Amino acid sequence: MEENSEKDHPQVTMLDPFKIWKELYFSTEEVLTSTMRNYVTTDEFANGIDVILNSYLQYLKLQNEFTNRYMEDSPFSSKRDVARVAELVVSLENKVDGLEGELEEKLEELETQIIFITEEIGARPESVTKENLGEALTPSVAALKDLSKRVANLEKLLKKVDINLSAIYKQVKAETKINTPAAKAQKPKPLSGLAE
Amino acid sequence: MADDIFISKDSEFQIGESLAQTSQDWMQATARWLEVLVYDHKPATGLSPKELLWRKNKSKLYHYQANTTRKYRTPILFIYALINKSYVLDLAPGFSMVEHLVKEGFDVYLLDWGDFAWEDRELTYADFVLDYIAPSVKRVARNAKSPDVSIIGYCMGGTMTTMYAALFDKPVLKNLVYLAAPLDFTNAGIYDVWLRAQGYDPDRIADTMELIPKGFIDWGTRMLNPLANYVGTYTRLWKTIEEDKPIYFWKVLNKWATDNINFPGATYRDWIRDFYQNNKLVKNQIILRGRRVQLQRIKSNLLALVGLRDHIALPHQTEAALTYLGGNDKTYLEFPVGHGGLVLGEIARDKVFPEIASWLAERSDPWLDEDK
Repeated sequence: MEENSEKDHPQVTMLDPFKIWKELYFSTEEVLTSTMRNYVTTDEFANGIDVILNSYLQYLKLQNEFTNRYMEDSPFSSKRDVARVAELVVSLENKVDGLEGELEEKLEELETQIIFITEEIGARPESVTKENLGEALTPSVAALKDLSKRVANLEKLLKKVDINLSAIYKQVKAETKINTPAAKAQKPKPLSGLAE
Repeated sequence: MADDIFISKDSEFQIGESLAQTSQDWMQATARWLEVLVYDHKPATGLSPKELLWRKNKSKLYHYQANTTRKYRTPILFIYALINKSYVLDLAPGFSMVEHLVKEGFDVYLLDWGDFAWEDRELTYADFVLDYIAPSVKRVARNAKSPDVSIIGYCMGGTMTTMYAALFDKPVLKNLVYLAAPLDFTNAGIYDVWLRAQGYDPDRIADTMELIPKGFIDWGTRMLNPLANYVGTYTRLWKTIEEDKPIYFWKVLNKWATDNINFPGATYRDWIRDFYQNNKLVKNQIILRGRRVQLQRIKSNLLALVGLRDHIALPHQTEAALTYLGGNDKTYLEFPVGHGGLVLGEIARDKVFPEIASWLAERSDPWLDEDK
């Protein structure tokens, strides 16, 4: 019975105040946004904002000057002092970074050179065969053999000189024992070994 | 749409019930919204496995570890801007350009600038290009055992990459990819109005602030679209919660968007004066430690990607690379996105990442067994 009466009853329609408000607000915002955008592009706005900016800069300059003067005599470190230390650290870091960069470049160059040399050698394998190497080294080997002979002869000569010097030493020693004090004034005889 | 604003029920009582339910849902959505803004932890980002290859001052050069087989010998180095954090390139699994390229078989590296502090206030572009980017590229080539490299420069990172590419011949810069990188500053959109205004003096700003605070840079970026950035971001979150959609991506994006870094004052001065105000790059008038940056010297293959709705680096600012750079192989692609859309979101994942990967694959040397 109730269901039938509900069906017969027409639907009630009214304006939704929430939706109206939402629609109205967002469409107004859109229009206002556009209007504001147009306004900020005008010279009047730019000039007006510059007046405010310049007044602020004037105030800021005065404030900075006063603060700097105060901080100069203050026992506390100012942000300028801290910045000075930070600048030193940054410059030190730059130096280390520069060195690191240079080192890396040198290592890279070295690596490139090694690769180049290896490739050069690799490209010409016949130049380092045993025969070619022997041929290339023959003059050096001959010179080495000659040098070796000369050194051997020199050793023989040195041995002879050593023997002679030993003989002279013995002779001098023997003569020193035989000599009397009266004979000291006499002229010494020439050494037989040296004459030889 | 008009039908959506009506509520139809069988009786007034049911309408009352429905309105009460909506009211309760809104209360809950608002409570959750506040919870997300105030208490929720920030999601983890930059999750691709990586090792530290080199560090200098606060900057770090990362090498990403691949689980897949390496296919290409030519490595990829990401150079990011000096604003915001570079983890936008590796934001979240499934939405990471780094992850995509690693999976495609590339050897990937990223130069992360770190957080600049007071002692870095005098760093200039000459320092960044000659002392940070150049050694990084050398190290990347050496580590990858490759005579050449590819560089992907995002936003200001692309501008800095251009200066590097014009000055250094070795290692060979084989491929250069620009992601919304401004080169020609003839017409820089809103920035043109702001930065060329009579009262705007970059020297005064740099001299007074010395280290430009992150809030100042953030303010400058947000003011490009103030209502959307200061209000719209948060109302969008409320709407997402109310409609019961996932909020993970909003949280990740918001974390990155609010995670800014300080800007060295000397670099800021150069950025505004030499690039925005005097457009010196395309005039070949940039001189870094006595070395002139000449764009025609850059012979790399070029891929320039732009977002058509980008209001930070306008499309024609990047497109200028096709005119000024000296190579023969030049590709220019446009996508219907904003500045961040080239690395964030579904278009980036489905179109931009695969496009970069296939372009680089065609122009990178293969990784052979004898290279190992």
